[in-house]
Amino acid sequence: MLDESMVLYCRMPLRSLKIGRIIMRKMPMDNATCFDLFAWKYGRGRKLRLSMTSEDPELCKYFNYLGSLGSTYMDTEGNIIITIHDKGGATPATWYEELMHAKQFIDRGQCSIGIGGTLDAWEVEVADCLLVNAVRLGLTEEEKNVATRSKVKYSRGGCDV
Amino acid sequence: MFNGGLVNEAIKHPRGKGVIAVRAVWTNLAIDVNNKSHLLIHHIKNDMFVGTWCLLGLESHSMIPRETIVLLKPNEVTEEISQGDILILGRGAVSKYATNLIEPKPELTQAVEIGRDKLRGVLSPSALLGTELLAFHDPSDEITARDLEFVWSCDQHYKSEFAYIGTTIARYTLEFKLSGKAVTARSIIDVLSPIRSFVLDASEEMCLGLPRKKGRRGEDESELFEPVVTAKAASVRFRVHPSSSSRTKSLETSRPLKLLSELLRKANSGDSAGLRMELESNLKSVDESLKQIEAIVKSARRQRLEFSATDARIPISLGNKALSTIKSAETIYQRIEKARGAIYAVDLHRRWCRVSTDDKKDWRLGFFDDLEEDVRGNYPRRVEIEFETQTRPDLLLGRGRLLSIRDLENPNPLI
Repeated sequence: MLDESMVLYCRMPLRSLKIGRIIMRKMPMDNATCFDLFAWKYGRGRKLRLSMTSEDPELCKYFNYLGSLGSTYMDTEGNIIITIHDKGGATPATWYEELMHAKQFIDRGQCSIGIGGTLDAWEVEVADCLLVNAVRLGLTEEEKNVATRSKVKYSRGGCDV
Repeated sequence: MFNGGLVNEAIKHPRGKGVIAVRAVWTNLAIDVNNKSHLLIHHIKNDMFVGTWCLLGLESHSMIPRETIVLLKPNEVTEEISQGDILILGRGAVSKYATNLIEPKPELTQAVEIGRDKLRGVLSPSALLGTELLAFHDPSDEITARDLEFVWSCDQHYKSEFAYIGTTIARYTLEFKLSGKAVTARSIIDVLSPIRSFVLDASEEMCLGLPRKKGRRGEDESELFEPVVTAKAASVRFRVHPSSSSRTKSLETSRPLKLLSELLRKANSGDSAGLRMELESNLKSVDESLKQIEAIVKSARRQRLEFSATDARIPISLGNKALSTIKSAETIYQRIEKARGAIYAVDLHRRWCRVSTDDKKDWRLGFFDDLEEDVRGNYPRRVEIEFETQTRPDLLLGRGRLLSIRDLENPNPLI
């Protein structure tokens, strides 16, 4: 299941955060720190990596070409790479979306696309969470529309191009 | 269940050398982190196998709406992946169908399930062909018109009458690509004639157990095993399929083609002993078959032919190495032997005799006119023979050519 507390991680700046037994109060946080905390909590025993497009011009070009703000990649050995297109205007919603996906990959391991694929259902879950937490995340109207469109597309299978 | 995808776009990925990101409509593609082995993906371009790729992983992008991209790295690759190419997961096959009679008309390319067996496929609108359907299936399966009547996508049920328009590897297929500068009709016949001869003769032996005949083939037999040859437009490529005759459904007509593929690969790898062993375990007429394989390789060398098959998809070029392997396979067991035994049968019309030797081997030996008087006599009688043979030494039944024969005892002691 998706973790509601993750919404907190992605709010900038975070004033209060509870992770496991550690309680941090009145500590301003950026999104990279959020990722570190996420990796600390969920990525144990896994290769969980964060990659920013501002650090790699080729990656920046690739994301510009696709028109994507972020991605979550899982290879056949279970390694996960979250990529944020910070140069292309990634928002807190992007961070939230990618962390959610990473968590789904971590929790469920196996994923499939196409007919009967599990990833479609995961997209619907993430879109639902985005819409439910729209106010806390400060989602723009456009972001809400994107989430709604994702939900509609993947509710009916999402295998077209 | 066999799966695959129709490529929409392939982009170079910055994550590694040669890694590409593929946007495609997949029937189903899964990543299992517990299964460490790389999933092999076969790449088909213009209805030809052009290579294999390894699945690296899935990349889920936040786009409008979110989209999943598959990352592949080259395994054995001869061509880049581009729009319209077909990718098959594992050892599946794909057949292509088209129709104008489909209700409702699909507007988007989409993954579908086909027929009662729920075969996986991709349905796409096509400007030229109306609606096109790719069906992924087991290479040995035949898809019937009845299977294609009902097609389901995730939210739609299509009723249709599809017509078969081509196959990539629906049945076992040998593919020959002519890469010479000037390809004439004569050069095509030059390539296809020895292949056809081998397939027809080997089919009769393997499927019906008939001995090889000399001279012209009967029309009925040719029709029964006649291989189907299809040509690919805009390229000089030929695909040889097993006979499509309905009479041959139960005869496993792909066996001679599989044998030919195996023999050509062994010849190309320089394995003359393996080549001969393969022939001996499948055919009785080893020498005649070797001559046919030699003719195929000679014409392949002349026309700079590249060869591939359903179960061996990376093309090979047949040249001098293959030819010398066949030559050495012809003479690998060639020897002259001397033996003692009993001559017990003679056919003076066809010029052969049979001798059972003391080491419990049975020889069928041909001879020329000059030995006729020496062979003639009472049977059985003890003789000492000298003969030339290519039969493997461990076989109990052999063939050869008689060089000399001498009686060991007087056949008629009264004379």
